Parts: sequence; structure tokens; C-alpha cells
Amino acid sequence: MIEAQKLTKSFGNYKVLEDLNLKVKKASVYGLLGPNGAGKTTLIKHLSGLYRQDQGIVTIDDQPVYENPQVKAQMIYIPDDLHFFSQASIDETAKFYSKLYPDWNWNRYEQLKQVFPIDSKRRVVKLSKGMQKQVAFWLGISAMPKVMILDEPVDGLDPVMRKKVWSLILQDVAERQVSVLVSSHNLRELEDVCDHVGILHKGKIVVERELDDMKSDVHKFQLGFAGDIPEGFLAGPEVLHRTQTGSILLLIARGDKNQLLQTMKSANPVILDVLPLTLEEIFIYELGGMGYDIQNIII
Amino acid sequence: MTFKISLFNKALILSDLKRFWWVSALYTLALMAYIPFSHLMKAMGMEVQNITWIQDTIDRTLRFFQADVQAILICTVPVLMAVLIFRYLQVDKSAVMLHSLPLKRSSHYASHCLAGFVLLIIPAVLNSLIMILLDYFTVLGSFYTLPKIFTWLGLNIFFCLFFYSIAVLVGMFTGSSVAQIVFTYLVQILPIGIYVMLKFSLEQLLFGFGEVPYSLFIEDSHPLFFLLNGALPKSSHTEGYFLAYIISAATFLVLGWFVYKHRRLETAGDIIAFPAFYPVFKYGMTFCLMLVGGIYFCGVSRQSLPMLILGYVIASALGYFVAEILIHKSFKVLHLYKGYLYYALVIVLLLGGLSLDVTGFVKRVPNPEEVEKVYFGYSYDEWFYFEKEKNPEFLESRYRDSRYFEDNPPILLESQENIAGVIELQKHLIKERKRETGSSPYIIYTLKSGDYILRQYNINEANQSDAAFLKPIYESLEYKKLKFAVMRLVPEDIKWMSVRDDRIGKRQVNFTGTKDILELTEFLKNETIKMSYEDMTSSRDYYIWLSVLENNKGNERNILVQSSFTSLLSWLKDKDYYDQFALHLEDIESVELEKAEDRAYSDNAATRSPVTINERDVIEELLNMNPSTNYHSNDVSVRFNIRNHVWEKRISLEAGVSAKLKGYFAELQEDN
Repeated sequence: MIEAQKLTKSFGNYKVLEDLNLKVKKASVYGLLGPNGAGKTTLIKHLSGLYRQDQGIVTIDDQPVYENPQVKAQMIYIPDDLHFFSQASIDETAKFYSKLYPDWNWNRYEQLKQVFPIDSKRRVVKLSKGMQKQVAFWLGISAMPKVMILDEPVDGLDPVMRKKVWSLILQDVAERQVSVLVSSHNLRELEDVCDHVGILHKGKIVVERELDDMKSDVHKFQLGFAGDIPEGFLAGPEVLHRTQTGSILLLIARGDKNQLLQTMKSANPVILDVLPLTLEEIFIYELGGMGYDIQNIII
Repeated sequence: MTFKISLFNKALILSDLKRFWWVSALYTLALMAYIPFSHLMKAMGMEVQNITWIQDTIDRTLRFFQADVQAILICTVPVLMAVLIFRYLQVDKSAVMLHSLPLKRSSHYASHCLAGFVLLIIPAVLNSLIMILLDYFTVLGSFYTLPKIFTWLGLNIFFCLFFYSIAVLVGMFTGSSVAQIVFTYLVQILPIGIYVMLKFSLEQLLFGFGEVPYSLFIEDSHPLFFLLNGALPKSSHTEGYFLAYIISAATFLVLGWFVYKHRRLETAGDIIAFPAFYPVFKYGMTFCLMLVGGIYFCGVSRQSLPMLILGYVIASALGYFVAEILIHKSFKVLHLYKGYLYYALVIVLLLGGLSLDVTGFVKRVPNPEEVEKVYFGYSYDEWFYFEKEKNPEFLESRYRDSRYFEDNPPILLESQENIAGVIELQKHLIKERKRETGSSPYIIYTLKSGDYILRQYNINEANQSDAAFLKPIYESLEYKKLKFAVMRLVPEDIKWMSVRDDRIGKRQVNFTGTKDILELTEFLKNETIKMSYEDMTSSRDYYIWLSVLENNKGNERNILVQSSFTSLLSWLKDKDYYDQFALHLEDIESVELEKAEDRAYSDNAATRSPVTINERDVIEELLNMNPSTNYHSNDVSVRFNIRNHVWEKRISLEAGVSAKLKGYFAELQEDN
């Protein structure tokens, strides 16, 4: 759906993006992770057709995005830093958008008044930052896009509103096959909503994973032994991480959960627990193995 | 989607109109207050004798004839509008928001451009409608006419379009609204500015470099200048003129569209939106500031060359680093000094070349055989239109005098002797290389090859060494024929002549008889041919004048009769005409002496009484004294009381005078 190939961009002598490849599938939510200054916003501005790349291709549904109104009409970009016309009320802004987006849906706009408790006669620029963000989602969702590109979207929203907004978006993903690309510097935020995660570091996607795969693929075990820890039973599975505290062994291993459990049991531990694994831990261990100091890349 | 729909987007245009209608409204009100309302007030309070004045004021405003509120508004409001309409491009947030909309850049540009232009035109249209209503229903009907109102509307739209198009185009090149305003005016002034400054510098560096007045190609033709000069589109500003500017405005807009398409969004906030233009901006600014600094330092130091160079160095360095600061948006730019060194190197080579006269400019003197003719006079314009362009009618229409060149032929010398004389003069001037003040005529050679050599030097006619070279030229018949209208008089064409003495007022003698006229012109011509260099350059005896009215000419021609015209004067005396018009000693009732400086400061004059002289022989001495030529502050002002008339002249205290007069001078000194 959304695709970037060999994307390169420099600002002056400073290379922000270099040979970057990225692919977001239809009806999926792609989380773009990276520390400040990694090039997230720059990448997003290319994907939404604002910046022209120095090299490479950026397409949505195999159509180039830059200077392509047909593609942009199906797409909503909500930047981190919002801008609204200073005199316009929410209703007036909606009217403006309705003329520009062919699939604009007034029913939806009216329905969403239930979700966003803001008087639509108010001037947008007079609203607080969080409320402006709500307006952006309100208008964006009413435009019935096929693609949503969101830069740090939930910044400034309270937890209740975050949930509401995400449920609206995910509903669209499920019902209308919307593709979503969302950026954040915070992995925990994306964990619940994304099905793909890519990590951007120094202008490159260093790792790209499907979350379901990851979660079913990597597991954390806690084993307690009565005596010494037996040697050799871990020869088979791929162990990503191992900590030993006395007779307690903490393992993070890749593989099928049941098979791994079988292997563990064969060593006759006194205790055998399967512990919950956060996405952050997975990245830390997986990327640690690849030579990246992940804790410095994502906080 | 059709082309039309995709180019102009209704939603965008409407949103612009909604957002910036207030500019339009304010402008409408300002125009309304300044034009129809104030006209109405003037017309309603009119008195009969004021009608022409009111009519004139109204016509002037409607034709943008004076630099006033209206002129200032019309060269600022369109720029302001362009800045506001395209403000979104200069701010990152809004640029991102608007460009994420499903619109092409062409639609953005076209829609915003159109919206801004519509907003600019509405005030003029509304005011025209108001004026039409006033024309029909109020007293203003006797001052307004529909063509006048439509001319005003047309001029208004023309100026709006022109300034707006420049501001829009400039805005595409810069990423800052402030820079957009500054650059908009700068690009319009820059050609003249650079020209004037370059010319100034070249005059300092190249001896003999001739001044070419800029008025010729810019002053009157550029809309900004003729608005601010209050010089309205003259008859020379024809349809072609307006058409040319409308086409250029349209070209600017198309160019702006092209630039917009290639502009990168991330340059919002940068002073120059295209990195490729950084060097242009940087070195342009360095160069311009260098010239400004040169003029400033040269001016305050009374034109000393080392100060000029110092000014160049300081100002160009300033220009360079300020440009770098603006480009990099940082004060840490000193490490970029290398670019400045390259610039300095180029300039040093250029200036060094100029001062060593590598091009041979200063020493270039043509061979007499090469020269077809030479212009030796003071007006570049005259030479340009008469000789170079061969289009004297253009200048005549500007002077509103269709026979200008017939009456004042440019001094174009073609004889071998005079060409050689001018060349010798030029060689002498180059050798002397003095810069003392004097008059500065042009020496412009037309070469047989079709080229021109233009030089301008300071020449002092009173200076002995200059005079030696000027004398043969001035005394030549060719020069006199061009210089003196007398030489071109045809007795048969003369209706009448009269002679008068300025010292005595209105008394004059008229000649209408063919014989008198024939003789008079003959004497005049002969005297002029005999006139010596000294007579031609002295400033004595400006009081006996001959007026000549020729057939088929409206104005009289006044010809000075110098005291050296002895044969003419004795003819007048023989025929008893002289006594009828000239001043005689008996006519003088008394003479008063005053210090010239007291005359200048009238406060002193009030407190000091002049020295009065009644002695005939002293009066006669004063009458025959040569007037002072150099206007010293201790000159004496001599006032002759002649019946109902007063005639004054200045004489020098240093002049050798009789003992009696010395006594009066002493009295004058004592008084103070």
C-alpha cells in the first residue's frame, strides 16, 4: 500500500534519509519508531507527498504521491504541529475540507460530535493543543481516507481520549481496510495498536517486524532448580538472553512456545514459569544481538 | 477534472477571500476617504474662484499626478496583499497543512494569486462605482466624467497588477515574509542604485569617465518611480508602454508559478528558498554594500582615494558576513571567510586593473583622422537623442518644444581644426589630471567606424592653461554658428526687433523697418564673428539686450549686446537710438552702498544704514566699474536709484578705485 524504495534526502550537506525502504500493508497499522532526530518526520513528509525526495520512489497503491491529488484525496496527514486558519470555526474548517476531499462524510462528522465533546462553533485556534488534536482527528476521520499518516498522534491527548481515538481508527482499519502509519518515539504507546513496527535510526530502517510474529516467536521463561543448573539442555533452542541468579535462571528464547516448554521440562526444574514479555524487551534483546544498543535508540 | 477546475480551486479562493477580506475593506475605506469623499467635500464647499483649482486637484488625483497618500497606498497595499496571501508558504506549519491537501501546486499558486488580485481590485471597483453614482447625483458631476473615472480605475488596476506580480514572484524566491517585502522594493530600486553607485565609483577611479544620467532609461518609465516622483504617465507613456508593463507583470506571474512548482517546502523560513541562489544573494549583497560604503567614506572624507578603498573593505566585509548570517541563520560565520577572500581577490584585480588603466580608458585619445565629429557640450540627453539615437523628436516631445533642436543645435563639431583642437584639449586635460571644480562638459567623439568615445572632464574657462586650448575652438566660426542663435538669424524672417537696457526698466526702442533689421542683424553677426574668447567667457555687462521676434515663432529671442560690440553700439548711437533706451548718468538719482553680506542676512541690513552717494563723478566711476566675478563675502552691493527703478550690482572691495570712493568704502567699514 504505502511504499518507499531507496529513499534518500539531504538538507544541505546533512543526509537525513539514506537508501530507506519501507512497506506498509493494506489494512494494517505500521508503527514508526525512532529517537528524536532520526528522520521520522522527514520520512513522513515524503510519504504524505510534502517533500520531494532526492532519490528513490514513494508510492501509495503504486501511484507516486508527490503532486498527485488523486492519491492525496484518499489520504489524511495529521502532523505533530497543527495549523488551522485563524478565523475559522470547526464547522467552517469542516466545510473547507469537505470541498477538497471527495469522500467527505457529513453524517460521520455529525456522529463524531458524540466522541469529541467540543462546541463546533468555536474557533479552532482558540482551543487548547489537545483539543486541536481532537479536531484534527475529527476532521481526518470524517474525510473517509484510505490512508492515514499520523505524526506523534496522541501527544497531548488524555488517556481516555487516546483510547477513543485509537478505537475509532482501528475500527476504520478493520471495516474500511484503512492503512495507518503512525510515528512515535515511545514503543509502549505503539505496542497495543500496531501490527508492524519499524525502527528508524540515522536515516535507515534498522529493523522491521510483525508484532504478532514476534510475540509468538520470542518467549521469556523463569526456571528454578533444586540443585545446580544442569548443563546442555539448552543446546537446541536459540537463546537470546540468559541471566542466572543462584539457582534461578531467566531465559529469553526464540521458537515455538510448546516445543520450548518441552525442552525446559526435560531439565526438571522445580519452578517453570512463562513470563509476559513486553515489546520493548523483545526489541532490546533482539537488537542487542544485532549489535545495536537499543536502549539508546528507543527510550 | 477539466483544466479550469484543477487550476483554480474554489474552496481555496473562498477561504482566502474569507481570511483577507479585511485588507480589502480597509483599502476601500482609505480610498473612499481620500478620493470620492474628499472630492465631495471640496466640491460642496467650493467658491466660484476655486473651481479651476478644485478641478485641477481632482484631475491630478484621478491621474495619479502627485506623490500622495494614494501613491503610497498603491505601491504598498499590493505588496502587503502578496505577502499575506503567500504567508502560508513562509511558515512551516501552514505550508505543511496546505500542501497535504489534495491539490496540485499549480492550483495552489493560481488560486491564491487570483484571490489576492480579486481582493486588490474590489476596492478600486467599488470606489469607481461610488464615483459614478456621485457623478450622476451630486455636484461632483461637473468635475467627474466617465472617461476620467475609468482612467482612474484602469491605472489603479494596472499599478496593483504590476506591484502585486513583482511581490508574488519575489515571494517565491524567499522563505521569509520580511525578506519578501524588502526584496520586492530592492529589486525595483537596485538597477538604479547599482548604476548610480557604480558610476560614482568609476568617476573616482577612472579619470574622464562621463556621467550618463539614469533618468534616460528608468526614472520616468518604471511605475514605482513615476508614482513617487508624481510624474504621471506622459504622452510618451502610450498604450505600448502600459502593454509592455502588463506583459511583464504577466510574465512575472508565470515565472512565479514555475518557481513555485520547483520550490521545496522545507525552505520555509529560509531567507533564500533556492540554495542555488545563495551565491547570487551573498555576493550581490557584498558588492552593493561595498559600493554604498565607498560612497559614504568617500563623501565624508571629501573624495580621498584611501578612504574610498577603506570604505570598500569595511562595507564589503560587512555585507558578506551579514549575508552569511542570514543564510545560515547563525552568528557563527567567521569560518566562512574563504568566500570573502575570493571575492576580495577578484575586486583587487579589477580595481588594480582600473587604476593601472589596463584597458587604456584614461589615456585613450582618438587620432584626428578617425573622428567624424565631436560633441562638446553639457547635455548628454541632447547628444544621445540627436546624434546617437537620431530621434530628436523624442526629446522635443519631452521638453514640449517641437523646435527645440532647431533653436538649440547641439554643439557637434565636424571641421578638421576643431576636431584636432578638442583632441589637443583632451590630451592636455589628461596630462594635467586636475580635479578642481569648474564646468564639466562632455567630449563625445563619433568615430568613422561608427563607435563612440565618451568622456567628461572638469574644465575651468578662467584657467590660463585650459583657456589656451579652448580659445581656438571657441573662436572658430563653426562653434559660434552652433553656439549663438544670432548666427542663424535670417533678416527676412524677422517681424520686429527691440533693444532695451535692463538697468533702467521698461524703456525700449523697437525696430520694424526692413532696413534697420537688415543692418542690425548684419552688425550682430559681424560682432559675434569677431567676439574673442575673453568676451565669450567674461561675465560682465549683462544689461543691453536685443529682442528678436521671428515670423512663425511664438517667443522672442533675447540676445545679449556686449560692450565689445562697438560697431553695433556706435550704429545705435549714430542713429540716436542709444539715448532713447540706455541708462545715462543723469538718470541716476543716488547710489547706496551696502556690504554684500548684510544684504544676504537681511536682519543686519535692518540695523545698518547704507552709505549714500550723491557725487556725480563717484557715481560715474561706480557705473563703469566691472562687477565682481567671484562673489566674495566682502563684496559691496551697489544700489543705483534710477527714477522709479532700482538696479544693483556687486563690486569687489579689492578693485582699484579713486580716493573719493575709497573714502566711502572706509565709511562703510566704519559703520560696522
